[in-house]
Amino acid sequence: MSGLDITDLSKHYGSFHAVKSISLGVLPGEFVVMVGPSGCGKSTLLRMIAGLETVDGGMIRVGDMDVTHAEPSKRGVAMVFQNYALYPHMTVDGNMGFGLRMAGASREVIAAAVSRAAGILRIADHLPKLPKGLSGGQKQRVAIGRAITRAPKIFLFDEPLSNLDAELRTRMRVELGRLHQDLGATMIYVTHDQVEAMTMADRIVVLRDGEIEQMGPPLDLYNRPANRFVAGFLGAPRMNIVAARIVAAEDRVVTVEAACLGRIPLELDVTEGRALLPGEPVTLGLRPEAFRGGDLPLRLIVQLVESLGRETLVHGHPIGVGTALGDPEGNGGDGAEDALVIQLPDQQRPRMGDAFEARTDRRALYLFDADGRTRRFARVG
Amino acid sequence: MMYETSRNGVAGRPGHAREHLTYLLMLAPALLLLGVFVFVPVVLVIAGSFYEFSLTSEDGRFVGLGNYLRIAGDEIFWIALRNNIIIVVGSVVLQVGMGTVLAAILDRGIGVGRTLLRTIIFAPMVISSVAVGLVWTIILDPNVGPMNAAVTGLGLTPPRLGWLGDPTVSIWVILGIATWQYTGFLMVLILAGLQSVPKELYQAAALDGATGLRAFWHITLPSIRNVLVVAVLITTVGGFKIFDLVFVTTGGGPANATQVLGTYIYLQAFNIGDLGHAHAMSVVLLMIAVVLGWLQLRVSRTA
Amino acid sequence: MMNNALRPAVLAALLAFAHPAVADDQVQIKFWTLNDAGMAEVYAEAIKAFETTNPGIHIVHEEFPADSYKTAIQVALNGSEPPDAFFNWVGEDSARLVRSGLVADITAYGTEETGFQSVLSPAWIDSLTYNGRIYGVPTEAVSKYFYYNRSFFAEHGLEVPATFGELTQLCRDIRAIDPTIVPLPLGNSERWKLNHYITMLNERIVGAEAAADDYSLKASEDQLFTDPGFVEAWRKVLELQKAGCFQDAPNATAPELTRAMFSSGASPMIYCGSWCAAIFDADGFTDYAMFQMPPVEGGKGAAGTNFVLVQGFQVPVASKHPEEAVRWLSFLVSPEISRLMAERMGRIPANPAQLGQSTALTEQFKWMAQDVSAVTAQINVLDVLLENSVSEAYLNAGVEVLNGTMTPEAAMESIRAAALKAKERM
Repeated sequence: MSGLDITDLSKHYGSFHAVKSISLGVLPGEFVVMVGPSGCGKSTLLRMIAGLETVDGGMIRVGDMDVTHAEPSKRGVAMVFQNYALYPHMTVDGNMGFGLRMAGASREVIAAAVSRAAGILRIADHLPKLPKGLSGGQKQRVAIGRAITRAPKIFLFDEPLSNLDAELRTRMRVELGRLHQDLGATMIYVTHDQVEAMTMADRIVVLRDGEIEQMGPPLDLYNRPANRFVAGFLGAPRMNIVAARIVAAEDRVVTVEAACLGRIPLELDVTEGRALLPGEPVTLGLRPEAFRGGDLPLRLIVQLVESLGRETLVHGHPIGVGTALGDPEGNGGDGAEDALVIQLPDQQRPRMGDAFEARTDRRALYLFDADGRTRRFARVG
Repeated sequence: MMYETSRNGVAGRPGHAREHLTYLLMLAPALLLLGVFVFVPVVLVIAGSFYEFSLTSEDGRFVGLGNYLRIAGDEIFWIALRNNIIIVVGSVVLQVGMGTVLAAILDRGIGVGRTLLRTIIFAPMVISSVAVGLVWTIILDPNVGPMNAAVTGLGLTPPRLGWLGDPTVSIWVILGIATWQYTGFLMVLILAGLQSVPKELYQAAALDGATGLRAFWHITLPSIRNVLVVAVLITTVGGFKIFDLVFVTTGGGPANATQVLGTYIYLQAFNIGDLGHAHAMSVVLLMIAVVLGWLQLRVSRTA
Repeated sequence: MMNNALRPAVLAALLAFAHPAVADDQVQIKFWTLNDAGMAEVYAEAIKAFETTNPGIHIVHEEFPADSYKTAIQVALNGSEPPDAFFNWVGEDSARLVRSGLVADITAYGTEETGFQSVLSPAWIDSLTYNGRIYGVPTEAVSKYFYYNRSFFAEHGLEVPATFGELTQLCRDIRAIDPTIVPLPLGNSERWKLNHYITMLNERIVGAEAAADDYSLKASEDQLFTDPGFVEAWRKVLELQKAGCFQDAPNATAPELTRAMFSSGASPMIYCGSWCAAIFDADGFTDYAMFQMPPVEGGKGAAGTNFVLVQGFQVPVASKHPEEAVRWLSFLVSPEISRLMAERMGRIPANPAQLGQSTALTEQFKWMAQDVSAVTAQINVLDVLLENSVSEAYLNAGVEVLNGTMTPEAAMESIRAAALKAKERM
C-alpha cells in the first residue's frame, strides 16, 4: 500500500495556468476526494497523476518512487473514467484482463485476477459479454473491475458516477465506500458533486482556479470552511449569504448590521486578516438548516416552496433588504443573494406571496470579511 | 410509451394499410428506376449469355451453356481475372494499408498543415480516371516522360519496353496509379473513423500499458474495424469494376497483359462483336459482385 | 378574349400543326458523319449549295464521336429511325453491313451526268462494289507514306530507298551519323501503327491477291495464313527494329509523340498517314517529302499498289429516300465540293478533277492526291479488313513481336489459330 506525494506541481496550457504549484500528500489507504467547479484544475491534477498530462513543474511520487515523468502504465495507478472508456470490441473479461495482458502476465494469472475482481464487484455473470450489452451501472462496475484487476497502488476516479442516474449514483456511492474499506486501497476521486465528496471522502480537497482552497475531513470543511467559497461549495442547499456592515468593533467582538437581521454582536474566531473597522462591508452566512428557532427573527416574502416530505424548503425574499439599507448595489455586489433558502424539518405549507417568519440563532452565523475569509464559524452542537 | 399507445390505439388497422400504400407510393419512383435500369438489364444480360449473337444480327443462336464453356477455355479471360485479383488484392493491401497509415499519422502525429495535407492526398480522387490515366501516360512516357528521367537520375534503369509497354511491369504500374488515385479517399474515410474513436480509450489503454503501435493494434484497429470492412469492400468492388483507367493507359495491352474483365468484356462486345461471349463474362462478373455483396452483408452483421 | 399568357402556347400549337404540311412536299435526308473538327462548317456550306439547286430536299446533318460511332450505327440500322446516308469506313465495316443486308444496293442511282457513277473512276467505285452491285459512294481516301526530312537527307547525302533493304540501311546510316537519333519513331501504343506496316509488308511479300483468301477466311483450313510470306513480313519488322529504326519502347509510345518527333526535326523519318501532312503543316514544318513503302526484294507484291483506306457513305436499306440520298452523295463527290474538302480539310478526295487548279494546296498534297489516284490496287489496312477477332490477333501479335515476347512464327500461329476459330464460326 502506497501513499502519494505531490510537490509544487504546475501545469500550463499556453497562457492558461491550470494547476498552480499544488502540493498534496495522500496517506496510504486514504480516500481523498478533490472537488471544485469546472475548470478548477481537479481533473488536470488527476490526469497528471495518471500520466495522461505532462508535468510542467514539480514532482509526483507514488510511495517512494518518483513517477513525475514515468509512463502511465509504470506508475502503479489505475483510473476509472467518467464515460467508462471500456474497449468496445473486447468482452468484459478481455477489458478487465487487458492491463495484465499488456504487462505480459500469464493466462492463469490474468484469469485469477479477473475472477477475483469480478467476484468483488459481482459481475462474474457478465464476463463473456461485450460492453454494449451492459447497463450504465454495470459498465462502471466493469471499469472499476478493470482497475482492480491491475492491483494498482493508487486508484484514480474521474467523476465516475456522473453518467449514472440519481438512484444508481447513490447505490454506487455506497458500494465504492464499501470497496474502499474492503480493499484498503489509496483512492483519489474527482467530482464536482459535493454529496459524493461529503459521503465518501476521508479527506476533501477543495480546488479553485488551480489552487487548493482548503483540505480536511468532510465535517471539518463543512463546519469550519476557511472561506466563503468553501462554505458555499459544501452543503446543499447552499449556505445563505446575507450582506452586512460593521457598525462597531471592539477587540474580538464586532457588531454587524444586516438589513433583514438588525444589529448583532459577534465574537470573532479569526483575528488575523483585514481590519474589521466600522463601515467595513462583510457578509453573514447561514446554513438553510439553521432556522430551527432562536433569538433572531427573519421575515421573508415566500417566493417558492419545495415540499420534500421529510423537510420543506422555503425560498423567499427577506423583508427590508434593498429598502432598509437603501444600498442595493452594496448588497448584490458582494456575493450576497437577495433570495434565501430555509430548510424546515417538517411539512409546512406557507403560501406564496405571504410573509413568513423564521427564527434562527446568532450562534449559527458565519462571518466572512470582504476578502471572503471566514472570521467567525457557527457554533456546532 | 405515449407514442406507442396513441399509434396503436388511434390509428388501428386501416391506418396501417394506408401507411403501407404511402410507403409503396414513395418507393415507387426508385423501384421503377431500379427496375428499368438495373433489373431488366440484368435479366437481359443473363438471357443473352445463352445466345451467340452480334450487334448487327437480328436473332441470336441459342447455345445453352456454350458461352460459359468458351469462357473456361478463354486464356485471356483468365488473364483478365488474374489481373482483377492483382488489382483487388494489391489495392486492399496498398490503398487500405497506406490509407490507414496516413490517416493514423494525420490523426495523431501531425498537427500543423493537417488540412492542407489531407486535401493534397485526397485531390487525385476528384479527378476522373480518364484524366488521371492521361496524365500518367504522359508522366510514364518512355521517351519524354519525367518518370524515366527521375528513375535514371537515381541511377536505376527504367523498363526498356516502357512502364506501360512491358507486359511484366504494366499491370503493377496500373495498380500504382490506382493506388495514387484512391489512397487519399480511403485515408479520409479511415480518418473519419479514427476521429470517432473516443480519446479516453487511448488513455485507458495507456494506463493499461498499450501505447504507440500496441495501442494502434489493440485499440485503433479493432475500433475502426467496420470502417475498414467498408474500405476493403469499396476497394474490392472498385478493383473488379476497374475499366477506364486501364482503357486509357494501356487499353488492356501490351497484348492483353493488362486486360481486366471490364476491358475484356468491352473488347469482346464492341471490338470483336461477340456479344454472347461478352454477356456470359458479364454474368460471371455479376456473380463475383453478388458473392462479394453477400460476404459484406455477413461480415457487417457479425460486426 | 385570349389570355395574354396563353397566346404564345396556342400559336406554337398552330405552328406544330402547320409544320408537317410544309414538310410534305420536301424530302428530309438524315445525314450522319463523324464529328471531325471543322468539318461541320464545310458540310454546312455544301448543304446550302445543294439545297439551293435541289429545293425539294432538306439535309439534316448529325455528328457523332468516332469512338462510339460503330456502335451507334449498328444500333441505328437495326432501330426504327435509321439515317438516310451515313459515313462508313470501306472494308470489313462496310462489307459486314452489306452481308447483313442492312445497307441498300444503289447501283440504280447516280448514273446521270453529275451522278457519282459518272464522275468517279472505276477503281474508286470498285471499293464499295460487292458481287457486282454498288453499296455506297466513296468520297475520300487516306493513304500511308514514309515522310522524310528533306534538309536532313540533303545534308547527309541520304537517298530515298528503292528497296526495303535500302530502308533498313538508311536507319543504320542515320544511327551512324548520331546514335541518339531515332531514325523512324514508331508510336504503337494504340497498336494500329505497326498494323499499317504489316499491312504493306504483307502486300509487298505475299501479294494482295495471294493474301485475299486468307484475309477473307475463304482459304481452306489447312491453307489459312500458312503462306511463309506472312512470317517473313514479321521478320521484316524485326529487321527494322534490329537496324535501329525504332526507339526502345514503341508499344508505350503514343503516335502523337512520334509525329512531334518528326515535325520538330528530332527524327528524320516517319511512316504516317496522308492526314499527317496537315498536322506537320500546322506544326510549321513543311520541309518534307514522301515515298511509298519500298518493294521487298524477292517479294510477290504487285506494282502500283499502296495502302489506301477509302471512306465513304452508305444508304440504309430502310431509308425511304435512297434516290435523294444518293443525289446528295453525288453532290459530295462533285469536283467543286471535292476541291473544297481538299483545300479546307486536307482530305484526298475521290474526285481529283479540280485539284490541279488549286493554289491553296501544297505541292506535297498534290503529289499525294496524284499518287493515290495512280494506285492500281487499293490495299486495305488489316485492322479494318480482317474479321474482328483475327484483326485483334494481328494487332496483339504486332505488340508481342515488337516486345520480343513472340517470334514471327509464333505470331502467325496465334493469328492462324484465331482465323481458324473465326472461320469455324462463319
